[in-house]
Amino acid sequence: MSRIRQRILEFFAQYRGRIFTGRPQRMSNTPATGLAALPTEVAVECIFYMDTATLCVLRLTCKSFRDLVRETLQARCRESVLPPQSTYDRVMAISEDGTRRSSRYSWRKGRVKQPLARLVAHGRCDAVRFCLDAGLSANVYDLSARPLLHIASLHTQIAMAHLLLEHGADPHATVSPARYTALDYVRWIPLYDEFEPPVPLDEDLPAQEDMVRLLLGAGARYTTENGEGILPFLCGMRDYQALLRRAMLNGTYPEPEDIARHLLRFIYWPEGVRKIVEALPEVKSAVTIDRSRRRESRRSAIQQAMIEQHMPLALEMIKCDMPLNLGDYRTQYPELFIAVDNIYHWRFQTNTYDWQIVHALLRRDEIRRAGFLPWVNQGPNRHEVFQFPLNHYLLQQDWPMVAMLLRMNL
Amino acid sequence: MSVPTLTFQSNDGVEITVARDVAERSVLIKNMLGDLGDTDEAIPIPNVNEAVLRKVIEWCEHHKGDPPNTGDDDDSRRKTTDIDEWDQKFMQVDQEMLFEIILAANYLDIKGLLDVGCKTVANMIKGKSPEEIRKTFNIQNDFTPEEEDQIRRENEWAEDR
Repeated sequence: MSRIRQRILEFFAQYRGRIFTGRPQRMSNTPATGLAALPTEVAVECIFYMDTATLCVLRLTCKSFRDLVRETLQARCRESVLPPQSTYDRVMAISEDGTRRSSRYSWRKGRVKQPLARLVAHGRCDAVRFCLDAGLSANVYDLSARPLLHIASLHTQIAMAHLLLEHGADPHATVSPARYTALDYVRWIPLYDEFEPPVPLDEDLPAQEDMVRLLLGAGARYTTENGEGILPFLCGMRDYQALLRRAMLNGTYPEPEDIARHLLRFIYWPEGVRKIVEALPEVKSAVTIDRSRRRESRRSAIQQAMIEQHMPLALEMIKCDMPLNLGDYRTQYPELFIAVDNIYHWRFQTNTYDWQIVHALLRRDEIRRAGFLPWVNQGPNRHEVFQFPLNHYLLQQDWPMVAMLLRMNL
Repeated sequence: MSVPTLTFQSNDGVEITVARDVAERSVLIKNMLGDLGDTDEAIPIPNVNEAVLRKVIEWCEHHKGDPPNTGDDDDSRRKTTDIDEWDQKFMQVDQEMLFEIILAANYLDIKGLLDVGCKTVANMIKGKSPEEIRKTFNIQNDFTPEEEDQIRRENEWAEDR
Protein backbone atom coordinates (compact mmCIF):
# COMPACT_ATOMS: atom_id res chain seq x y z
CA MET A 1 0.00 0.00 0.00
CA SER A 2 1.47 3.33 -0.96
CA ARG A 3 2.06 6.04 1.55
CA ILE A 4 -0.50 8.44 0.17
CA ARG A 5 -3.20 5.80 0.31
CA GLN A 6 -2.32 5.27 3.96
CA ARG A 7 -2.61 8.99 4.60
CA ILE A 8 -5.98 9.15 2.87
CA LEU A 9 -7.33 6.38 5.04
CA GLU A 10 -5.97 8.08 8.13
CA PHE A 11 -7.65 11.27 7.08
CA PHE A 12 -10.99 9.52 6.70
CA ALA A 13 -10.71 7.96 10.10
CA GLN A 14 -9.78 11.22 11.72
CA TYR A 15 -12.30 13.33 9.88
CA ARG A 16 -15.42 11.34 10.53
CA GLY A 17 -14.28 10.14 13.90
CA ARG A 18 -16.21 6.97 13.34
CA ILE A 19 -16.22 4.46 10.55
CA PHE A 20 -19.32 2.36 10.21
CA THR A 21 -17.44 -0.81 9.67
CA GLY A 22 -19.70 -3.53 8.44
CA ARG A 23 -22.89 -1.69 9.41
CA PRO A 24 -24.80 -2.41 6.20
CA GLN A 25 -24.13 -6.10 6.64
CA ARG A 26 -25.39 -5.96 10.18
CA MET A 27 -28.45 -4.07 9.03
CA SER A 28 -29.56 -6.87 6.82
CA ASN A 29 -28.91 -9.50 9.45
CA THR A 30 -30.51 -8.05 12.54
CA PRO A 31 -34.30 -8.01 12.86
CA ALA A 32 -34.42 -4.26 13.46
CA THR A 33 -33.40 -3.00 10.07
CA GLY A 34 -34.16 0.43 8.82
CA LEU A 35 -34.48 3.57 10.82
CA ALA A 36 -33.35 2.01 14.06
CA ALA A 37 -30.24 0.67 12.37
CA LEU A 38 -29.21 4.08 11.10
CA PRO A 39 -26.67 5.97 13.17
CA THR A 40 -28.41 8.32 15.57
CA GLU A 41 -27.46 11.54 13.86
CA VAL A 42 -28.92 10.31 10.58
CA ALA A 43 -32.08 9.01 12.23
CA VAL A 44 -32.55 12.37 13.92
CA GLU A 45 -32.17 13.98 10.51
CA CYS A 46 -34.98 11.77 9.19
CA ILE A 47 -37.18 12.57 12.17
CA PHE A 48 -36.62 16.22 11.50
CA TYR A 49 -38.61 15.94 8.29
CA MET A 50 -41.56 14.06 9.75
CA ASP A 51 -44.70 15.82 10.87
CA THR A 52 -45.89 15.60 14.44
CA ALA A 53 -48.63 13.07 13.78
CA THR A 54 -46.14 10.72 12.16
CA LEU A 55 -43.78 11.05 15.09
CA CYS A 56 -46.59 10.19 17.46
CA VAL A 57 -47.28 7.05 15.48
CA LEU A 58 -43.60 6.26 15.40
CA ARG A 59 -43.54 6.56 19.15
CA LEU A 60 -46.01 3.71 19.37
CA THR A 61 -43.96 1.22 17.41
CA CYS A 62 -41.22 0.22 19.80
CA LYS A 63 -39.18 1.37 22.75
CA SER A 64 -36.09 2.41 20.87
CA PHE A 65 -38.17 4.59 18.57
CA ARG A 66 -40.00 6.05 21.52
CA ASP A 67 -36.69 7.15 23.01
CA LEU A 68 -35.43 8.31 19.64
CA VAL A 69 -38.27 10.73 18.97
CA ARG A 70 -38.66 11.96 22.54
CA GLU A 71 -36.62 15.13 22.30
CA THR A 72 -37.98 16.21 18.95
CA LEU A 73 -41.54 15.61 20.10
CA GLN A 74 -40.96 17.50 23.31
CA ALA A 75 -39.66 20.46 21.37
CA ARG A 76 -42.68 20.36 19.06
CA CYS A 77 -44.94 20.02 22.08
CA ARG A 78 -43.47 23.09 23.73
CA GLU A 79 -44.16 25.22 20.73
CA SER A 80 -47.54 23.87 19.73
CA VAL A 81 -49.69 23.34 22.82
CA LEU A 82 -49.72 27.00 23.77
CA PRO A 83 -50.77 29.89 21.57
CA PRO A 84 -47.79 31.95 20.42
CA GLN A 85 -46.49 34.67 22.67
CA SER A 86 -47.64 37.32 20.20
CA THR A 87 -51.23 36.25 20.75
CA TYR A 88 -50.76 36.53 24.50
CA ASP A 89 -49.30 39.97 24.07
CA ARG A 90 -52.24 40.99 21.95
CA VAL A 91 -55.04 39.92 24.29
CA MET A 92 -53.55 40.08 27.75
CA ALA A 93 -52.37 42.97 29.89
CA ILE A 94 -50.19 42.37 32.92
CA SER A 95 -50.26 44.98 35.63
CA GLU A 96 -47.40 45.77 37.95
CA ASP A 97 -48.48 43.40 40.69
CA GLY A 98 -48.65 40.55 38.20
CA THR A 99 -52.41 40.54 37.76
CA ARG A 100 -53.37 39.52 34.28
CA ARG A 101 -56.41 40.80 32.46
CA SER A 102 -57.71 39.54 29.21
CA SER A 103 -60.57 41.65 28.04
CA ARG A 104 -59.62 41.42 24.41
CA TYR A 105 -60.04 37.70 23.97
CA SER A 106 -63.47 36.42 23.10
CA TRP A 107 -63.66 32.71 22.51
CA ARG A 108 -67.14 33.04 21.07
CA LYS A 109 -65.78 35.04 18.17
CA GLY A 110 -62.35 34.27 16.90
CA ARG A 111 -61.41 31.28 19.03
CA VAL A 112 -57.72 30.53 19.29
CA LYS A 113 -56.64 26.94 19.75
CA GLN A 114 -55.26 26.25 23.21
CA PRO A 115 -54.54 22.54 23.34
CA LEU A 116 -52.91 22.54 26.77
CA ALA A 117 -55.76 24.32 28.52
CA ARG A 118 -58.26 22.10 26.74
CA LEU A 119 -56.41 18.96 27.83
CA VAL A 120 -56.49 20.22 31.39
CA ALA A 121 -60.20 20.93 31.19
CA HIS A 122 -60.89 17.47 29.81
CA GLY A 123 -58.69 15.77 32.38
CA ARG A 124 -56.20 14.16 30.01
CA CYS A 125 -53.57 13.58 32.66
CA ASP A 126 -51.11 11.57 30.61
CA ALA A 127 -51.02 14.09 27.81
CA VAL A 128 -50.60 16.99 30.23
CA ARG A 129 -47.86 15.12 32.06
CA PHE A 130 -46.07 14.76 28.74
CA CYS A 131 -46.32 18.50 28.16
CA LEU A 132 -45.08 19.31 31.66
CA ASP A 133 -42.22 16.86 31.32
CA ALA A 134 -41.36 18.56 28.05
CA GLY A 135 -40.50 21.60 30.10
CA LEU A 136 -43.68 23.67 30.16
CA SER A 137 -44.54 25.39 33.40
CA ALA A 138 -47.61 24.34 35.37
CA ASN A 139 -48.28 28.02 35.96
CA VAL A 140 -49.02 29.12 32.43
CA TYR A 141 -52.19 31.07 31.75
CA ASP A 142 -54.77 30.51 29.08
CA LEU A 143 -55.93 33.36 26.89
CA SER A 144 -58.75 34.17 29.30
CA ALA A 145 -56.02 34.88 31.89
CA ARG A 146 -56.70 31.84 34.03
CA PRO A 147 -53.90 29.62 35.31
CA LEU A 148 -54.16 25.92 34.54
CA LEU A 149 -55.02 25.05 38.14
CA HIS A 150 -58.07 27.29 37.93
CA ILE A 151 -59.24 25.47 34.82
CA ALA A 152 -58.74 22.07 36.44
CA SER A 153 -60.69 23.18 39.47
CA LEU A 154 -63.44 24.76 37.40
CA HIS A 155 -63.95 21.46 35.61
CA THR A 156 -63.50 19.43 38.80
CA GLN A 157 -60.57 17.44 37.47
CA ILE A 158 -59.11 16.16 40.70
CA ALA A 159 -56.37 13.98 39.25
CA MET A 160 -55.37 16.85 37.03
CA ALA A 161 -55.20 19.30 39.92
CA HIS A 162 -53.05 16.80 41.77
CA LEU A 163 -50.71 16.51 38.80
CA LEU A 164 -50.44 20.27 38.40
CA LEU A 165 -49.72 20.78 42.09
CA GLU A 166 -47.04 18.10 41.90
CA HIS A 167 -45.42 20.02 39.08
CA GLY A 168 -45.36 23.21 41.08
CA ALA A 169 -48.62 24.96 40.24
CA ASP A 170 -49.15 27.88 42.58
CA PRO A 171 -52.30 27.41 44.68
CA HIS A 172 -52.22 31.09 45.60
CA ALA A 173 -52.45 32.41 42.07
CA THR A 174 -55.39 34.73 41.64
CA VAL A 175 -57.34 36.00 38.70
CA SER A 176 -59.19 39.24 38.33
CA PRO A 177 -61.70 40.37 39.31
CA ALA A 178 -61.91 39.93 43.08
CA ARG A 179 -58.75 37.81 43.31
CA TYR A 180 -60.43 34.50 42.70
CA THR A 181 -58.20 31.59 43.56
CA ALA A 182 -58.44 28.07 42.28
CA LEU A 183 -60.42 27.23 45.40
CA ASP A 184 -63.10 29.73 44.46
CA TYR A 185 -63.26 28.29 41.00
CA VAL A 186 -64.49 24.98 42.39
CA ARG A 187 -67.90 26.59 42.80
CA TRP A 188 -67.59 29.51 40.44
CA ILE A 189 -69.52 27.93 37.67
CA PRO A 190 -70.15 29.84 34.48
CA LEU A 191 -72.99 28.73 32.28
CA TYR A 192 -70.61 28.28 29.39
CA ASP A 193 -66.94 27.73 29.23
CA GLU A 194 -64.60 27.78 26.30
CA PHE A 195 -63.58 24.16 26.74
CA GLU A 196 -66.88 22.61 27.55
CA PRO A 197 -70.59 22.70 26.84
CA PRO A 198 -72.61 24.24 29.71
CA VAL A 199 -71.43 23.00 33.06
CA PRO A 200 -74.24 21.33 35.03
CA LEU A 201 -74.66 22.82 38.51
CA ASP A 202 -74.54 20.61 41.57
CA GLU A 203 -73.88 17.53 39.53
CA ASP A 204 -70.64 16.58 41.14
CA LEU A 205 -70.90 17.53 44.78
CA PRO A 206 -68.66 14.78 46.22
CA ALA A 207 -66.02 15.46 43.60
CA GLN A 208 -66.17 19.17 44.34
CA GLU A 209 -65.73 18.44 48.03
CA ASP A 210 -62.69 16.32 47.28
CA MET A 211 -61.34 19.13 45.17
CA VAL A 212 -61.80 21.61 48.00
CA ARG A 213 -59.98 19.26 50.38
CA LEU A 214 -57.14 18.73 47.93
CA LEU A 215 -56.64 22.44 47.36
CA LEU A 216 -56.85 23.34 51.02
CA GLY A 217 -54.34 20.62 51.77
CA ALA A 218 -52.04 22.15 49.18
CA GLY A 219 -52.21 25.50 50.92
CA ALA A 220 -54.95 27.30 49.02
CA ARG A 221 -56.86 30.34 50.22
CA TYR A 222 -60.16 31.69 49.08
CA THR A 223 -61.04 35.21 48.13
CA THR A 224 -62.52 37.53 50.72
CA GLU A 225 -63.45 40.16 48.22
CA ASN A 226 -66.55 38.71 46.69
CA GLY A 227 -69.28 38.38 49.28
CA GLU A 228 -69.43 35.07 51.01
CA GLY A 229 -67.74 33.41 48.06
CA ILE A 230 -67.24 29.71 48.45
CA LEU A 231 -68.13 29.70 52.16
CA PRO A 232 -71.75 28.51 51.87
CA PHE A 233 -70.46 25.45 50.07
CA LEU A 234 -67.56 24.99 52.46
CA CYS A 235 -69.80 25.30 55.51
CA GLY A 236 -72.09 22.65 54.08
CA MET A 237 -69.31 20.10 54.38
CA ARG A 238 -69.13 17.76 57.32
CA ASP A 239 -65.82 18.89 58.78
CA TYR A 240 -66.15 22.51 57.82
CA GLN A 241 -64.65 23.78 61.07
CA ALA A 242 -61.36 22.04 60.43
CA LEU A 243 -61.41 23.19 56.82
CA LEU A 244 -61.99 26.82 57.80
CA ARG A 245 -59.16 26.56 60.27
CA ARG A 246 -56.98 25.15 57.50
CA ALA A 247 -57.90 28.02 55.20
CA MET A 248 -57.04 30.50 57.91
CA LEU A 249 -53.68 28.87 58.50
CA ASN A 250 -53.10 29.02 54.76
CA GLY A 251 -53.28 32.77 55.07
CA THR A 252 -56.82 33.62 54.07
CA TYR A 253 -57.14 35.80 57.16
CA PRO A 254 -53.81 37.18 58.36
CA GLU A 255 -55.48 38.86 61.33
CA PRO A 256 -58.76 38.47 63.22
CA GLU A 257 -59.82 41.82 61.84
CA ASP A 258 -59.80 40.33 58.38
CA ILE A 259 -62.37 37.76 59.41
CA ALA A 260 -64.61 40.51 60.74
CA ARG A 261 -64.12 42.48 57.58
CA HIS A 262 -65.09 39.45 55.54
CA LEU A 263 -68.17 38.88 57.67
CA LEU A 264 -69.35 42.33 56.67
CA ARG A 265 -69.69 41.06 53.14
CA PHE A 266 -72.16 38.35 54.07
CA ILE A 267 -75.11 40.57 53.20
CA TYR A 268 -77.02 37.81 51.41
CA TRP A 269 -75.98 35.09 53.81
CA PRO A 270 -76.26 36.45 57.36
CA GLU A 271 -77.00 32.99 58.76
CA GLY A 272 -73.43 32.05 57.85
CA VAL A 273 -72.02 34.38 60.49
CA ARG A 274 -72.73 31.93 63.28
CA LYS A 275 -70.85 29.13 61.54
CA ILE A 276 -67.80 31.26 60.94
CA VAL A 277 -67.74 32.61 64.48
CA GLU A 278 -68.04 29.10 65.87
CA ALA A 279 -65.25 27.81 63.66
CA LEU A 280 -62.96 30.79 64.10
CA PRO A 281 -63.58 32.27 67.54
CA GLU A 282 -60.59 34.59 67.08
CA VAL A 283 -62.92 36.96 65.32
CA LYS A 284 -64.27 38.02 68.73
CA SER A 285 -60.91 39.50 69.60
CA ALA A 286 -61.21 41.99 66.78
CA VAL A 287 -63.03 44.70 68.70
CA THR A 288 -62.76 47.36 66.11
CA ILE A 289 -62.21 47.18 62.43
CA ASP A 290 -60.99 49.80 60.10
CA ARG A 291 -62.70 49.22 56.83
CA SER A 292 -61.50 52.15 54.91
CA ARG A 293 -57.96 52.01 56.32
CA ARG A 294 -57.95 55.77 55.90
CA ARG A 295 -60.12 57.21 58.59
CA GLU A 296 -58.89 57.24 62.08
CA SER A 297 -62.23 56.48 63.57
CA ARG A 298 -62.59 52.80 64.10
CA ARG A 299 -65.86 51.01 64.35
CA SER A 300 -66.99 47.64 65.48
CA ALA A 301 -68.16 45.24 62.82
CA ILE A 302 -71.69 45.49 64.16
CA GLN A 303 -71.65 49.24 63.96
CA GLN A 304 -70.30 49.17 60.45
CA ALA A 305 -73.00 46.72 59.35
CA MET A 306 -75.63 49.02 60.77
CA ILE A 307 -74.16 52.07 59.10
CA GLU A 308 -74.26 50.18 55.81
CA GLN A 309 -77.92 49.35 56.55
CA HIS A 310 -77.35 45.60 56.63
CA MET A 311 -79.61 45.09 59.60
CA PRO A 312 -80.07 41.30 59.36
CA LEU A 313 -76.32 40.95 59.32
CA ALA A 314 -75.89 43.24 62.32
CA LEU A 315 -78.55 41.33 64.25
CA GLU A 316 -76.82 38.04 63.52
CA MET A 317 -73.51 39.46 64.66
CA ILE A 318 -74.99 40.69 67.92
CA LYS A 319 -76.52 37.29 68.57
CA CYS A 320 -73.20 35.62 67.88
CA ASP A 321 -71.45 37.65 70.57
CA MET A 322 -69.34 39.65 68.22
CA PRO A 323 -67.64 42.39 70.25
CA LEU A 324 -69.33 45.73 70.83
CA ASN A 325 -67.51 48.97 70.51
CA LEU A 326 -68.38 50.67 73.73
CA GLY A 327 -67.07 53.98 72.52
CA ASP A 328 -64.14 56.07 73.56
CA TYR A 329 -64.96 56.07 77.24
CA ARG A 330 -66.80 52.75 77.22
CA THR A 331 -69.96 54.66 77.76
CA GLN A 332 -71.22 55.73 74.42
CA TYR A 333 -72.79 52.55 73.06
CA PRO A 334 -72.66 53.51 69.38
CA GLU A 335 -74.45 50.34 68.33
CA LEU A 336 -77.34 50.92 70.65
CA PHE A 337 -77.43 54.54 69.72
CA ILE A 338 -77.81 53.88 66.02
CA ALA A 339 -80.67 51.47 66.48
CA VAL A 340 -82.52 53.63 68.93
CA ASP A 341 -81.91 56.65 66.81
CA ASN A 342 -83.40 54.88 63.83
CA ILE A 343 -86.47 54.06 65.82
CA TYR A 344 -86.70 57.61 67.07
CA HIS A 345 -86.43 59.28 63.69
CA TRP A 346 -88.44 56.79 61.72
CA ARG A 347 -91.02 56.17 64.33
CA PHE A 348 -93.83 55.34 61.93
CA GLN A 349 -91.81 53.37 59.45
CA THR A 350 -89.48 51.56 61.76
CA ASN A 351 -87.59 48.70 60.37
CA THR A 352 -88.56 45.58 62.22
CA TYR A 353 -84.89 44.77 62.55
CA ASP A 354 -84.22 47.90 64.60
CA TRP A 355 -86.45 46.64 67.38
CA GLN A 356 -84.88 43.25 67.29
CA ILE A 357 -81.45 44.80 67.38
CA VAL A 358 -82.25 46.90 70.44
CA HIS A 359 -83.65 43.86 72.20
CA ALA A 360 -80.66 41.75 71.29
CA LEU A 361 -78.25 44.46 72.41
CA LEU A 362 -79.91 44.91 75.73
CA ARG A 363 -79.56 41.21 76.34
CA ARG A 364 -75.80 41.49 75.93
CA ASP A 365 -73.74 41.35 79.09
CA GLU A 366 -71.49 44.25 78.21
CA ILE A 367 -74.39 46.66 78.13
CA ARG A 368 -75.82 45.43 81.40
CA ARG A 369 -72.44 45.49 83.06
CA ALA A 370 -71.68 49.01 81.92
CA GLY A 371 -74.33 50.26 84.24
CA PHE A 372 -77.35 50.76 82.16
CA LEU A 373 -79.72 49.18 84.65
CA PRO A 374 -78.39 51.01 87.72
CA TRP A 375 -78.80 54.24 85.88
CA VAL A 376 -82.41 53.52 85.18
CA ASN A 377 -82.95 52.68 88.81
CA GLN A 378 -81.10 55.65 90.20
CA GLY A 379 -82.45 58.35 87.97
CA PRO A 380 -80.80 60.79 85.62
CA ASN A 381 -79.36 63.37 87.90
CA ARG A 382 -76.99 61.09 89.66
CA HIS A 383 -75.41 59.76 86.54
CA GLU A 384 -72.68 61.43 84.62
CA VAL A 385 -73.18 59.74 81.34
CA PHE A 386 -75.03 61.97 78.93
CA GLN A 387 -74.62 59.88 75.85
CA PHE A 388 -76.98 57.18 77.03
CA PRO A 389 -79.83 56.66 74.61
CA LEU A 390 -82.35 56.64 77.39
CA ASN A 391 -80.71 59.64 78.93
CA HIS A 392 -80.85 61.37 75.60
CA TYR A 393 -84.53 60.80 75.20
CA LEU A 394 -85.21 61.80 78.76
CA LEU A 395 -83.43 65.08 78.19
CA GLN A 396 -85.41 65.51 75.02
CA GLN A 397 -88.53 64.71 76.96
CA ASP A 398 -89.43 62.18 74.33
CA TRP A 399 -91.79 60.20 76.53
CA PRO A 400 -92.89 57.60 73.99
CA MET A 401 -89.31 56.59 73.45
CA VAL A 402 -88.57 56.51 77.12
CA ALA A 403 -91.62 54.39 77.68
CA MET A 404 -90.56 52.08 74.94
CA LEU A 405 -87.05 51.68 76.30
CA LEU A 406 -88.41 51.02 79.72
CA ARG A 407 -90.83 48.48 78.32
CA MET A 408 -87.83 46.60 77.13
CA ASN A 409 -87.33 45.16 80.52
CA LEU A 410 -84.75 47.64 81.69
CA MET B 1 -8.50 20.99 -22.28
CA SER B 2 -9.40 17.93 -20.32
CA VAL B 3 -11.52 18.13 -17.20
CA PRO B 4 -9.52 17.26 -14.08
CA THR B 5 -10.62 13.91 -12.79
CA LEU B 6 -10.34 11.79 -9.68
CA THR B 7 -10.46 8.04 -9.27
CA PHE B 8 -12.35 6.39 -6.45
CA GLN B 9 -11.96 2.86 -5.30
CA SER B 10 -14.94 1.21 -3.68
CA ASN B 11 -14.47 -1.31 -0.92
CA ASP B 12 -14.92 -4.19 -3.35
CA GLY B 13 -12.01 -2.95 -5.40
CA VAL B 14 -13.74 -1.37 -8.41
CA GLU B 15 -12.24 1.92 -9.61
CA ILE B 16 -14.50 4.69 -10.86
CA THR B 17 -13.34 7.92 -12.48
CA VAL B 18 -15.26 11.12 -11.85
CA ALA B 19 -14.86 14.75 -12.78
CA ARG B 20 -13.33 16.69 -9.98
CA ASP B 21 -16.12 19.28 -9.59
CA VAL B 22 -18.62 16.44 -9.32
CA ALA B 23 -16.58 14.78 -6.61
CA GLU B 24 -16.34 18.01 -4.71
CA ARG B 25 -20.06 17.89 -3.90
CA SER B 26 -18.76 15.77 -1.07
CA VAL B 27 -17.42 17.97 1.66
CA LEU B 28 -15.28 15.13 2.92
CA ILE B 29 -13.49 14.73 -0.42
CA LYS B 30 -13.19 18.47 -0.84
CA ASN B 31 -11.56 18.89 2.54
CA MET B 32 -9.34 15.95 1.92
CA LEU B 33 -8.09 17.39 -1.34
CA GLY B 34 -7.57 20.70 0.39
CA ASP B 35 -5.52 19.03 3.11
CA LEU B 36 -3.55 16.46 1.18
CA GLY B 37 -3.26 18.13 -2.21
CA ASP B 38 -4.00 16.56 -5.58
CA THR B 39 -3.39 12.91 -6.15
CA ASP B 40 -3.34 10.64 -9.18
CA GLU B 41 -3.92 7.55 -7.15
CA ALA B 42 -7.25 5.89 -6.63
CA ILE B 43 -8.90 7.23 -3.48
CA PRO B 44 -10.17 4.36 -1.37
CA ILE B 45 -13.66 4.81 0.01
CA PRO B 46 -13.99 2.30 2.82
CA ASN B 47 -17.32 0.56 3.41
CA VAL B 48 -19.08 1.95 0.35
CA ASN B 49 -19.52 -0.68 -2.34
CA GLU B 50 -19.60 -0.24 -6.06
CA ALA B 51 -23.35 -0.08 -6.63
CA VAL B 52 -23.86 2.49 -3.94
CA LEU B 53 -20.89 4.54 -5.03
CA ARG B 54 -22.23 4.64 -8.59
CA LYS B 55 -25.62 5.80 -7.33
CA VAL B 56 -24.01 8.51 -5.27
CA ILE B 57 -21.92 9.71 -8.19
CA GLU B 58 -24.99 9.66 -10.43
CA TRP B 59 -26.73 11.96 -7.99
CA CYS B 60 -23.72 14.26 -7.75
CA GLU B 61 -23.47 14.52 -11.51
CA HIS B 62 -27.11 15.49 -11.81
CA HIS B 63 -26.81 18.06 -9.08
CA LYS B 64 -23.39 19.47 -9.87
CA GLY B 65 -24.89 22.80 -10.99
CA ASP B 66 -26.87 23.33 -7.75
CA PRO B 67 -25.95 26.29 -5.59
CA PRO B 68 -24.09 25.14 -2.49
CA ASN B 69 -26.18 24.76 0.63
CA THR B 70 -25.45 28.00 2.43
CA GLY B 71 -27.00 28.14 5.86
CA ASP B 72 -28.68 25.79 8.27
CA ASP B 73 -31.99 27.56 8.11
CA ASP B 74 -33.89 24.97 10.07
CA ASP B 75 -37.34 26.46 9.79
CA SER B 76 -37.36 26.79 6.04
CA ARG B 77 -35.90 23.32 5.74
CA ARG B 78 -38.69 21.67 7.68
CA LYS B 79 -41.48 23.19 5.65
CA THR B 80 -40.58 21.34 2.47
CA THR B 81 -40.75 17.60 2.69
CA ASP B 82 -41.50 17.31 -1.02
CA ILE B 83 -38.77 16.02 -3.25
CA ASP B 84 -38.26 17.02 -6.86
CA GLU B 85 -39.19 14.56 -9.57
CA TRP B 86 -35.75 13.39 -10.56
CA ASP B 87 -34.79 12.70 -6.97
CA GLN B 88 -37.97 10.77 -6.42
CA LYS B 89 -37.17 8.53 -9.35
CA PHE B 90 -33.59 8.28 -8.18
CA MET B 91 -34.71 7.10 -4.75
CA GLN B 92 -36.97 4.38 -6.09
CA VAL B 93 -34.69 1.59 -4.94
CA ASP B 94 -35.10 -1.17 -2.43
CA GLN B 95 -34.90 -0.37 1.23
CA GLU B 96 -31.44 -1.73 1.86
CA MET B 97 -30.04 0.32 -0.99
CA LEU B 98 -31.82 3.42 0.26
CA PHE B 99 -30.26 3.12 3.68
CA GLU B 100 -26.85 2.46 2.25
CA ILE B 101 -27.14 5.57 0.12
CA ILE B 102 -28.07 7.55 3.20
CA LEU B 103 -25.15 6.11 5.11
CA ALA B 104 -22.76 6.86 2.26
CA ALA B 105 -24.11 10.40 1.97
CA ASN B 106 -23.65 10.88 5.66
CA TYR B 107 -20.17 9.44 5.51
CA LEU B 108 -19.08 11.48 2.51
CA ASP B 109 -20.89 14.51 3.93
CA ILE B 110 -23.12 15.28 0.95
CA LYS B 111 -25.77 17.46 2.50
CA GLY B 112 -28.20 17.52 -0.41
CA LEU B 113 -28.23 13.77 -0.89
CA LEU B 114 -28.60 13.18 2.81
CA ASP B 115 -31.59 15.50 2.90
CA VAL B 116 -33.23 13.76 -0.02
CA GLY B 117 -32.67 10.38 1.59
CA CYS B 118 -34.09 11.50 4.90
CA LYS B 119 -37.10 13.03 3.23
CA THR B 120 -37.67 9.77 1.40
CA VAL B 121 -37.60 7.84 4.67
CA ALA B 122 -39.95 10.38 6.24
CA ASN B 123 -42.36 10.02 3.35
CA MET B 124 -42.20 6.25 3.61
CA ILE B 125 -43.46 6.42 7.18
CA LYS B 126 -45.99 9.19 6.73
CA GLY B 127 -49.63 8.21 7.13
CA LYS B 128 -48.94 4.65 8.17
CA SER B 129 -50.24 2.87 11.22
CA PRO B 130 -47.79 1.61 13.85
CA GLU B 131 -48.39 -1.94 12.67
CA GLU B 132 -47.54 -1.03 9.07
CA ILE B 133 -44.39 0.76 10.18
CA ARG B 134 -43.33 -2.29 12.15
CA LYS B 135 -43.87 -4.42 9.08
CA THR B 136 -41.99 -1.97 6.83
CA PHE B 137 -38.94 -1.84 9.03
CA ASN B 138 -39.21 -5.30 10.44
CA ILE B 139 -39.48 -4.12 14.03
CA GLN B 140 -40.77 -6.10 16.95
CA ASN B 141 -43.31 -4.55 19.26
CA ASP B 142 -41.78 -4.57 22.74
CA PHE B 143 -44.59 -2.67 24.50
CA THR B 144 -47.10 -4.24 26.82
CA PRO B 145 -50.71 -3.32 25.99
CA GLU B 146 -50.83 -1.02 29.04
CA GLU B 147 -47.71 0.85 27.95
CA GLU B 148 -49.13 1.19 24.49
CA ASP B 149 -52.37 2.61 25.90
CA GLN B 150 -50.47 5.07 28.01
CA ILE B 151 -48.48 6.29 25.03
CA ARG B 152 -51.69 6.63 23.06
CA ARG B 153 -53.09 8.80 25.85
CA GLU B 154 -49.89 10.82 26.04
CA ASN B 155 -50.12 11.47 22.34
CA GLU B 156 -53.44 13.22 22.79
CA TRP B 157 -51.68 16.55 23.10
CA ALA B 158 -50.97 16.45 19.40
CA GLU B 159 -54.60 15.97 18.40
CA ASP B 160 -55.88 18.98 16.59
CA ARG B 161 -58.71 20.60 18.46
